[in-house]
Amino acid sequence: MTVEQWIENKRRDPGFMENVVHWRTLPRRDAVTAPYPSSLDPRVPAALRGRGVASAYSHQRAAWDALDRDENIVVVTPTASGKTLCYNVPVLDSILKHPDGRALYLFPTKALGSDQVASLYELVQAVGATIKTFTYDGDTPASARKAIREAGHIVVTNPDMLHANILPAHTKWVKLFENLRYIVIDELHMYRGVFGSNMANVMRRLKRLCAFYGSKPRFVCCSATIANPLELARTIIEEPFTLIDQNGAPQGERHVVFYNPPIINKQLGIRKGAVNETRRIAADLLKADISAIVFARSRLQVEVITVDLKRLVAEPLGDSGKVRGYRSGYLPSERRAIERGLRSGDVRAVVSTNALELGVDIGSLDACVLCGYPGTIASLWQQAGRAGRRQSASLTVLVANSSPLDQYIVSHPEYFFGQSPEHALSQPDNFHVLVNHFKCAAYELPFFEGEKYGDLESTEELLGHLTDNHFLRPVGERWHWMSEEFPAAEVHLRSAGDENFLIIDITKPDRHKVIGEMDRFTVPMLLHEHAIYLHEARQYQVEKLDFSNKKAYVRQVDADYYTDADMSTSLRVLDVFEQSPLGDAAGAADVPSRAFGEALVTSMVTVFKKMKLDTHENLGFGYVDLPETQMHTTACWITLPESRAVKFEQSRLQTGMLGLAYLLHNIAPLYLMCARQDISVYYHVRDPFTQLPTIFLYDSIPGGVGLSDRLYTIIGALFEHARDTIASCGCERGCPSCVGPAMEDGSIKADALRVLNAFDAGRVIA
Amino acid sequence: MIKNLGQRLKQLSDKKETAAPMKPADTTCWVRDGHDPIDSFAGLDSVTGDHIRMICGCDIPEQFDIRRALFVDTETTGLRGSGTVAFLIGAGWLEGERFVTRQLLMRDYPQEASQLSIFADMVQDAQWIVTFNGKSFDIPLLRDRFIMNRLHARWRDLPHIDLLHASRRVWKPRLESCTLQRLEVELFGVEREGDIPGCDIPQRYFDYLKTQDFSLLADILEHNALDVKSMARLLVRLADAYDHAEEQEDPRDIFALGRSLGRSGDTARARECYKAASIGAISGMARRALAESYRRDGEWREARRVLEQMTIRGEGGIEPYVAIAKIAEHRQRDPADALTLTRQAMMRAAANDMPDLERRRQRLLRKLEGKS
Repeated sequence: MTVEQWIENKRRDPGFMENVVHWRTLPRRDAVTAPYPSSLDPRVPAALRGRGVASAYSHQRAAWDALDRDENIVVVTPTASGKTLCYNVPVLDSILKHPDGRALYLFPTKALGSDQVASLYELVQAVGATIKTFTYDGDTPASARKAIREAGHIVVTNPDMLHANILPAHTKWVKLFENLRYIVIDELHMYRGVFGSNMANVMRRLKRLCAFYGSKPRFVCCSATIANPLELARTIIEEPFTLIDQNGAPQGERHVVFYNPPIINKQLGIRKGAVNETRRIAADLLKADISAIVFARSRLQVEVITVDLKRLVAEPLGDSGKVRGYRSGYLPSERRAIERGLRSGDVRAVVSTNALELGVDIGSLDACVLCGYPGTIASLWQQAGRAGRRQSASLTVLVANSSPLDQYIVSHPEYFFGQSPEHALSQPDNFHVLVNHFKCAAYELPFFEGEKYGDLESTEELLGHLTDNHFLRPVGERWHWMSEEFPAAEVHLRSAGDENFLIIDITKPDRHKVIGEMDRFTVPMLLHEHAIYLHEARQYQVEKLDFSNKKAYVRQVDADYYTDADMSTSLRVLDVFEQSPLGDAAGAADVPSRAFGEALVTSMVTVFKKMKLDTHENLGFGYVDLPETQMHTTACWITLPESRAVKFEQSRLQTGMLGLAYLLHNIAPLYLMCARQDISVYYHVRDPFTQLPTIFLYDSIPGGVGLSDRLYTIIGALFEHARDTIASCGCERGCPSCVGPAMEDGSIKADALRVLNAFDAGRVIA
Repeated sequence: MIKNLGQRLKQLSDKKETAAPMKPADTTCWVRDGHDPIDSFAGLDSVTGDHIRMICGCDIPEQFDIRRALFVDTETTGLRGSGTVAFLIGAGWLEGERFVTRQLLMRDYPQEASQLSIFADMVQDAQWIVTFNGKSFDIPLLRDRFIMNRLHARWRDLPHIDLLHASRRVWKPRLESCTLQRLEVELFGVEREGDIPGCDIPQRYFDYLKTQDFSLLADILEHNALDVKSMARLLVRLADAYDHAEEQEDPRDIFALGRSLGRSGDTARARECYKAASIGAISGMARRALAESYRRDGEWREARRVLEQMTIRGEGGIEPYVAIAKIAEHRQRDPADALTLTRQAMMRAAANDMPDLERRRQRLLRKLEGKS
């Protein structure tokens, strides 16, 4: 069945259509082409024509022309619009004309890098000249590294490798730095928040070394659709940029469907589960043999959906390879095999986390089903972009879950279609990030008096600080590194860190096998002892978790349940940066107040639930014995004065705070332009630090990314929104769309509203 | 710009004053020369190109003149990367009747350029560089320093003798660890007294920079000078070891020298070493190497004779039986003999060797059947 036929069928299916709250059809678009520039080395257009690309798209031509004028460019066009040619063509052309020239390609992950080398290599072959393209990452064998450093024309790597390996050893890369003409930064939108701050500082260090070796490279950035690509490029690179965003590539008709699962308990406002509905729709597509990608919100969801879909297509012999799961934690080789399967069409459905949102080449699919709103408009478009052909139609179905955010999105389609995508924010001068990278920079090359570091106004204070702490020795108008420390080793660009745990299958006693890996923060949730770990829809039970050696030993089992761990979290205030009364009651004592500062969040997994595989019902629980995880971050908190707190009965106050915290957590992402999981909430009826009833909202990212700072200033607007949500929600005593599901005793909704009012200084509470 | 950057930095440290670079008093590095009579390096002036060929285990690109060999050792502020400097370069060479040591000390960072250019001038007359672990440490580090100071490192192309690798080839079987200090103790019977441990050197230098107390550097200068001279003695000792390979006291040294000679193509001397080493704990290893040496040259009878000695002495487990069986089967075309040897091996074999031996036995039986 074609996807057009499937769409027609569904349109006539009342069972499906009654849950469709919005159906948007985006018309097809024709190609806008432009001739190849005559200035190109003739071998390049010849190679492209040989590969069936008769002419360029208008945006590609615009990109090349801008680079020809010596401008840095940032390219923002959809998936599969030929973005890579925007940089590969000028880079190859430049190397053909100046064989000494070098280019550096940066991809946020290793996988994207190796993908890129493969396609670049094909083009180089077609051009037929000696242009050496190499990947330089953690997997590059030591024996090959020297050749790459000396002879690689195009070096493909990632920011982590650049930071910890290439920059500190720049003397080994003299040829690269002296002759660097292009720096390509793909997936620019990934560099936001703390990762962006790190990247910006890595760029400052890179540019500093280029200046030392006398090169002045041009930058080509590519980004998915975000609201502020130009601003982000300028923030990260600190150079002027030209925006290329007039897409000339053709696109078939696209259907975007908002699907809201039916309500099964009107009083409690509970809807059918998004997972089950997603599975149903995906199964339907699979039966019609329409290639599809399913985006789930968590790794566990990926596995649960994969199990179900695999069962559906399992042949009598049990081959279910047409359906694959895909997420972080699978081994690179396994991932490559799945990607190949998708491109060749052998894999008809893939269930993925946002890992496949990035530019991994999997070709184009016909349909995309999202199990829940991914948290940002940009992410949704990026995921939807996985389905989309140049000629035929494509389909994206967003299946809402019962969270307020999802419900808001599906019931306000104009919000989604009218709103520009999110801003990607980043702050190069994030204090801790800046200090750390400045150390690395000082290590790499002595600072001289009056030298600038990026757009930082002055380096004097930082140099003084490092001198006082005996890292630097100021002498002869230069600051020299004077420490045995290797500063790059202390800095990790990504919060999750590289501390991955290996997952080892010990089913066969003589053939232990590594089947995957997992980041340190997720391990207590998914790999605690006795957990059922799902991998590619196979079940394993964790037999032993060796925390100090970062290894989990698992054995294949056949159980009818999966496990889901509960994390208990506590928060302690370490430092207050700012504090003020809430609302207009400035100056008045004994009023609700707000504050933001530094906090220590401790998490611990203590119990896990056993859930039946098909019905998801609770079968029992078990205990987990693991060390706690600590995270330093920034938090914003609000406190209720004693005079107001005493008006509440203890249990009512508790319930009300729970409901209000729930509600704030769900609406804050709309204001912060972040994903729900980027922030967390926590509340204390009597907090040991403030001594008062306190609700905390904090950045769920080590070190913080400035979300709490912003919350501190907009908390008033958040309260307004909260009040509207409670007032307009149709439930009686509380539901997942407002303050969370009602408790057995009384109305969480009423309690939450009362607590909300108590936080309003201008309001007298009963 | 960060709000109150200075203030927040201060929270990280309690110091108040911010330092500005001080004017360097002097940009010329400090040079110290030392001289020792040639007698304390007895034999150094008779080290020849042939010795170097054996010591390095490879062909050497040009004529060797010991008087144009420069012994180089550096003291550094760390182990790797562009933030590490070689604050002290020690060099030594044979000149007339003396061994000269020259140490170039960077008393502060601005003196590095001067230190490196003096070094470059010194190396200009040299034909060889001799180091201890310089291949992976001193030389790449110096090259990095030249790049950072925008100086041309022409000396980079000089042939290089790394005594660490050479020493490992000879003494690793006996000593396991081949640090310079260990070798001094084992080979010369000399233990350094009050020597500063290498790992303390960077911090000692930083302390000196902070305090400008020059006496802190005395230990380091001494340590470095000792290292340079030790290298010269070590080279003599290596040359002597190759000259008298078969006469070394410890069979492990003889064996190692034999292996090294064998690798550089001196089969006859290698075999002499293996024969001389065929006593004591490593006799099995030496005989195996000897048999292998014959086998490689197709001298089957000789190989077999050595292997048979091994079987008689019970050396090498089933290995010599299997090796003889192979020679008997494939070279001497005597399957019956090979079968006997295979059976003898099976009588002594462990369980996991049995399948291979059984396959061999079956094959030999088939061969014999085909013959009859």
